[in-house]
Amino acid sequence: MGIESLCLDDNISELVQKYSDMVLRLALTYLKDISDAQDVCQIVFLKIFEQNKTFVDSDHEKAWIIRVTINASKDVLRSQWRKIFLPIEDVALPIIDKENREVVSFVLELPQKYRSVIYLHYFENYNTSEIAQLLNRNEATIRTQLKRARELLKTKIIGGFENE
Amino acid sequence: MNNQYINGMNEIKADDELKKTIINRVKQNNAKRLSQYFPRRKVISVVAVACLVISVIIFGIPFVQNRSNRAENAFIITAYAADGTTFKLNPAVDFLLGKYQVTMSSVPGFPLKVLCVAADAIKLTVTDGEFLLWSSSDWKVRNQGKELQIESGETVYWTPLQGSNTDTLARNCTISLKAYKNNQELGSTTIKIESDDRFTYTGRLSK
Repeated sequence: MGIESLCLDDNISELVQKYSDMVLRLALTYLKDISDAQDVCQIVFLKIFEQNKTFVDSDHEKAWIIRVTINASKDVLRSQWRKIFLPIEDVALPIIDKENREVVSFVLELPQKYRSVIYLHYFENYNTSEIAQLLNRNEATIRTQLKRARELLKTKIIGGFENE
Repeated sequence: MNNQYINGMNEIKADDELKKTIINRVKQNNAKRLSQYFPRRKVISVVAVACLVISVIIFGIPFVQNRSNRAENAFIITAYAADGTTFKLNPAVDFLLGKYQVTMSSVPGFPLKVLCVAADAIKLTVTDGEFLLWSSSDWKVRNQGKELQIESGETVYWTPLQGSNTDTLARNCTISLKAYKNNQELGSTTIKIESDDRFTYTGRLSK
């Protein structure tokens, strides 16, 4: 095995360790199915290493991986197979704490356009401008979607999501 | 609620099995891509080498032959030693051209036989002294001055005498030879002729 091969292996392991959780969470946010999210996770990393992109910094790298994950998730949502065999029952989330699981479930019940905004804002700490760039939407739209998502959650969760 | 969402999402993690599967799939995919890439590179290399070989055959060999002809056939200069024996000069080697004295009655000048198989004309120029042509059939010596054009195989003579002035002898000279074919120069060489105190001339090919 050559040095290049060893370096590549290290790089693969490093990137998988660094981003696989994020990719899985984001894919789950879109797909609401852990098995599909795991499939997307594999697809995303295959794409990352196929494209062999160079990045300015880790923020650029992370943003690009988020974009790839969103696109891959949308591809899965569009697939005919998924439309036919959409799971009837909700798949149990791998979250042990009941309250935490309920809150995540409520977020996942939101329309897809709100789910992704909530995830990127509250979990990944992106501001509305950054989310607008990532999702290729207007910042005003993101602000509105965020507001609407909070309102919807308020009706389901006591206290709702805090407005920053 | 924010914290509960964050804590809940934090529990969602790619387990080791999934990570292992991803790493293996990426490695397999890379190996597959490399195996596809290398044969293509191999094919490109083979085609490039084949093109190079063909180019060498088409252009290189005639060029080398041409150069070889130019180098080897440019000049074969036969010089005459003082004792009358002849020898060829290799253009690449400094070599005594022979010895000549004005008092020699057997020849009108320092004899040089210039042979260039590929050439249809050979032009000679001399810095001092003059060229002579001599035909043994009619025993006439024809003065040619400082420039002369001959054909391959002709014998030309150089004399240190300068025109009608027989009092002064050129002590040395440089003869430039250029071979032409269809007015294109094939090659050139230079002969330097020098004399010692007793006016015995020796020459050597300098180029």
